[in-house]
Amino acid sequence: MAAPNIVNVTSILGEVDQFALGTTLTTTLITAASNKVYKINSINIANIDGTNDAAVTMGIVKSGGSQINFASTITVPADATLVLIDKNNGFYLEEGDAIAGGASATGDLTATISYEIIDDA
Amino acid sequence: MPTPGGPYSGIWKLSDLSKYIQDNSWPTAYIGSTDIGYGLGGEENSNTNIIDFVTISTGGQFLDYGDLSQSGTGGAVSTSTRVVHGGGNITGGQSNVIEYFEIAVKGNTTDFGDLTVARGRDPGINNDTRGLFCGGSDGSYYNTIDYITIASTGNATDFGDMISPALGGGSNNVNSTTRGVVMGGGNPSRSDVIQYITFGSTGNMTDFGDIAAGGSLLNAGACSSTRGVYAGGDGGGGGNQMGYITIASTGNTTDFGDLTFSSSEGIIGMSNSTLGLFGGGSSPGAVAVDKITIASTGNGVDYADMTTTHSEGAGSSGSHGGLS
Repeated sequence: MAAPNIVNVTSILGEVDQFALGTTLTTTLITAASNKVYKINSINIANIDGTNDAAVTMGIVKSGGSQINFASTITVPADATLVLIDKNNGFYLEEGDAIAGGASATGDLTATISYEIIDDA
Repeated sequence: MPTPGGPYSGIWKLSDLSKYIQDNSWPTAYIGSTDIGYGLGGEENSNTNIIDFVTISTGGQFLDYGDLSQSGTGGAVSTSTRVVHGGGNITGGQSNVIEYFEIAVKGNTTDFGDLTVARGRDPGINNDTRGLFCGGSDGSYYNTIDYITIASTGNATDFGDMISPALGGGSNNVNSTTRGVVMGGGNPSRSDVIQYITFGSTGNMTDFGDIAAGGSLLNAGACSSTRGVYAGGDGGGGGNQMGYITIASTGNTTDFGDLTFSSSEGIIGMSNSTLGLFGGGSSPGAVAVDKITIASTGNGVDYADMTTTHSEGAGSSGSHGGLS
């Protein structure tokens, strides 16, 4: 495996994935593939429950490491969307790294993650 | 931008949240929910003051809620608005501290008053009005039953005595709106005695029946308004045993099923009257929590994980069977 040199990329693919968050706070959402680097542009958390507030926890799991949260039990009010990550605080996922997270209640929160897959192959 | 205090529907950035959080006006997801179960104190290698919580109807990972003022193994009682922790075997002695938190305010405990006798492993039973801390142990054994009026802070008052011999470490949380039950305990050997009081009348415990599987110590309880279930402990039926009683009728326990884990001495229990959760135990790192449906016998199902074992600590909730 080799992390791409982003000066010499051959492709940048735009991606968006969506997840219904469960109550296991360590559920893997996105894992950067081998020989790729992922640039995370935005993570939006929407509370689709019209009545109940819910809390989001999300973090990065470095390859072979443990989850370190960049958001811990942050309340997302009912019918609100929290911009957790945007272009001002985006980050890279190196190969094997992952984003993991969950919610305080099942069925309340969705995560929309927009990112770029950068490849130099 | 919405007015502080809400409504909060809309699109938010973290920078917006920080202003509201600093102003203490950002909502907390768990405020006011009676469907929350709490683990309080206990020990894991050493005494702990951790309070953690989970939504009982959904399970999953327990989250940090706040801290007790002292680290140790006490009992707990709770209504739909308030959780009260009493006593504790603490490092170097025993505690008479009663402390509480409001379920609408996530955070640490506040002083409530004092028990009549400092002690720990004193299981709690309660209805909407009264909370009782029963027996206790830490080398010595106590037959003391203290009671408090949960809505009003103040010192505890003597309620009566447990059936001789004095016992510590029986089940927590087995109650209807009129009757509180303690199942098992030890002095120092395991007791199979089930005993009860009527909340409205002070007095001594009355014999209810026996734990059919044999004596059990440091077991846990969960209940609906009609059925009480004990689980675990180091009883003769094995560490994964569960049995139940019909609270309104005296008698011995009937087999309920088995937990998925057996290292369950010192486990804690909680319920929302429909589901019962049992978790933890004496082994460091034993944080697994099983779920049962109280009305239907059967084995436990792996359902959640606590942040610590809470061994010999207390479980509680705002919607157990003692509450109307």
